[in-house]
Amino acid sequence: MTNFDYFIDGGIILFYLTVTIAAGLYVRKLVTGVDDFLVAGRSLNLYLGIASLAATEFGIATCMANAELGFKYGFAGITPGIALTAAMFIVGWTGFGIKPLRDKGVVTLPELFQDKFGSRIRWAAGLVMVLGGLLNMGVFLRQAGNFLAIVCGFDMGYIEIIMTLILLGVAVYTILGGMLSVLITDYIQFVIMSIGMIITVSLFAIKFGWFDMLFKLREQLGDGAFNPFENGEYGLDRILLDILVAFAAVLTWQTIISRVLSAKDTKTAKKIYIGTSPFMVVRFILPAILGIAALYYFGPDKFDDTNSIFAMPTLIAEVLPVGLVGILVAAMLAADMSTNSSYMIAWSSIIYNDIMKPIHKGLWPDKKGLRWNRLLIGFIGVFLLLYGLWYPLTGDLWVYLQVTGTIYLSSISVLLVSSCYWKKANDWGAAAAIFTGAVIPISYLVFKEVEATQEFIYTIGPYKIGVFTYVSAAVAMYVGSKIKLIKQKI
Amino acid sequence: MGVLFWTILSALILIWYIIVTVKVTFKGGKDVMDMITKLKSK
Repeated sequence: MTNFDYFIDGGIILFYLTVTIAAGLYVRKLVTGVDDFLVAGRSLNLYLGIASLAATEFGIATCMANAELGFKYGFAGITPGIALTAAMFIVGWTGFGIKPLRDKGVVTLPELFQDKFGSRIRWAAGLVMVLGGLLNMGVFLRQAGNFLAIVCGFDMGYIEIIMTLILLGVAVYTILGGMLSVLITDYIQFVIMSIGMIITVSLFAIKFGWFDMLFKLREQLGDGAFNPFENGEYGLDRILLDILVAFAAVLTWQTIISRVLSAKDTKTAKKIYIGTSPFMVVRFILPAILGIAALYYFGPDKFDDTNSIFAMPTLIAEVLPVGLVGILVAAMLAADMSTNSSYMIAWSSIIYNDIMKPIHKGLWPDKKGLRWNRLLIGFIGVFLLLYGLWYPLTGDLWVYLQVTGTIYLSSISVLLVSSCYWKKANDWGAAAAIFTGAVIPISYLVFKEVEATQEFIYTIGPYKIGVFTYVSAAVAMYVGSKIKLIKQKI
Repeated sequence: MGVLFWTILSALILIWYIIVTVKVTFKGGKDVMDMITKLKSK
């Protein structure tokens, strides 16, 4: 059952889509070269930077993942958001990692590694970043399809068509206008998304009664719903992984870093981080409140571990009135389109700038470079569609996002810190860190699908494996670098 | 205690978000225009 009205709510969504895509297409004429396409000519100012970064890091998949955390763990589920806020504020305030990165004027992170570790490491870093990034992004479309199908009342059989339409809408302006279109549409999307989320969360708090919701939450999940340290399901290993992922993400996640690289100078880049840092907790707490509202409305029995991700969209479909459903769907589409467009350009920029570098050696004319960047975005779109259709997501969505992100976050964060602050770091250590950081999480993803190893993998759990990956990558960098130094002395 | 803590924190975060949304809407709009002007003049 849904309150979605095709005429009123559909009209609101159609209006939003027309305005956004038109704005994205309007600026395409201003893109004259690869630099405009990938980093918007490095002309990003503070407030547009905040809007863009906030909109990028909030998509339908994030919203569903965080609402699921709220539904299952209450407020304890927003721990990753608190960790991200703290990490982004500290990095923005100190300039740790991002200052040397922006000062170098590179287009991507692997480009920074060339000077310190050589071209092979740049290539390997690019490869592992694209692998982790694309696997991470691979589940976005399906989650968006699930959300829209439930809220708008479409038959689940149409999910592939919905996914394709979302992708096409985003791909058109991203392919033509690159980062410039992404930034302009991000701004519109930030405004729509924020208005929709503020209205929806406030409405549920008033309709259900804020304190009624919270007292029922304590009744159903106990004190652990308010304190992750008292939550049996949210242990110390998970909190530690949240902190490690948070610092690694704000230092190296390409969609976040691309705002640093597009900023007009280092000072602006640092201010964008400080200004956006509280939003990192907003993107967790507002969806978590929707998850808590779903728990209040449906109780704990209607949704179990396999379908708890659908609790929040089902609540919206059943409770939000006509008109508001349209605003919220437009808000969620806004959030999703900004995320998809930024992610597509982030990964294509690495493929072009770092993986394909041995082919074009930076000598291709701008026109040819632009054509290839546009083609790459198209290829990424096709991959997303196929992967989204094929991959069967099991367990918490947020855990999947953390594990796939860890494929590169663990090693690339170690590489960034080492290249900026450890003189003795070298290519042997970098290669060992990249290999270790990628192999452990990929093995986890594979072995948890294999029947013979499934039980063993579940006994260890994703959090210990995640923490182990970060520690191993750092140790591998240290040991690898030391071995090369010793060998050189001999 | 937990209920009170999360009530205050949620309220503060929501108020911050509303203020930032208003500020970013106006100043971000100006940034968009500045960026377009700068790229047009190249």
